[in-house]
Amino acid sequence: MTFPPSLLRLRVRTPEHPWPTLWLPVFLVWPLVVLLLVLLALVVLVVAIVRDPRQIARAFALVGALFAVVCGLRGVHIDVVGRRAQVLISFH
Amino acid sequence: MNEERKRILNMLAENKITAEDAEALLDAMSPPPATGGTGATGGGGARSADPRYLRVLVEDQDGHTGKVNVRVPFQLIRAGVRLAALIPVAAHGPVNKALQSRGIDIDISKLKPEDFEDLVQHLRDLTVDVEGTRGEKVRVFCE
Repeated sequence: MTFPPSLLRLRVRTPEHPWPTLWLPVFLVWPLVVLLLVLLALVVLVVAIVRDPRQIARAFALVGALFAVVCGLRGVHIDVVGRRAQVLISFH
Repeated sequence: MNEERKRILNMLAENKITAEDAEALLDAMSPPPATGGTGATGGGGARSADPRYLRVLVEDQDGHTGKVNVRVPFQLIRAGVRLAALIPVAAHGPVNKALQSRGIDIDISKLKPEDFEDLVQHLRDLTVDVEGTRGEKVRVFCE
């Protein structure tokens, strides 16, 4: 089983703004994401029951796929160094 | 069977080397099982594990300016394909049209999660290595 990313490393540097690298504790928003997903699942359930009960399984598959996308962010690493700026986005 | 492997087996058949020597040589030819590697040198030995990341590296000649280092987990791509498979059939036409207007000529109705697994397995041996006229290098590979 995979989990959502715990940390986000963010760095944006330009000659004018040499910001330091930020380590953002993404795990602190996990409870919020779970809460949003539960609320989304409830809304999806209600809408599916009202509009087309045959689509309930598909609707929950959608919520599951969205969660898989969030989990899939772990390991994403984007590091671009241009002539005038550097951007680093890395999920851990 | 690749050429080196065949040569070792021929040497064994002609009693030029012992079975132990042949085993050692074949083991040496096989890629290490856990590394995954880029697959560029895979010589038909033991199958390595499925790749976990798609890497894109771009470097200028001096190796400092204009550098791009991107690593995308296959799990994220897999989740995206799962998500795309859930797009309602009625929306396929407009989505395809929007993608084509941006130069991406794919039919999302043909994106199937099970096909993606086959694709990932075959991507194990993918390495794209391009060198531009000004010395810039682009590498796309899996690891």
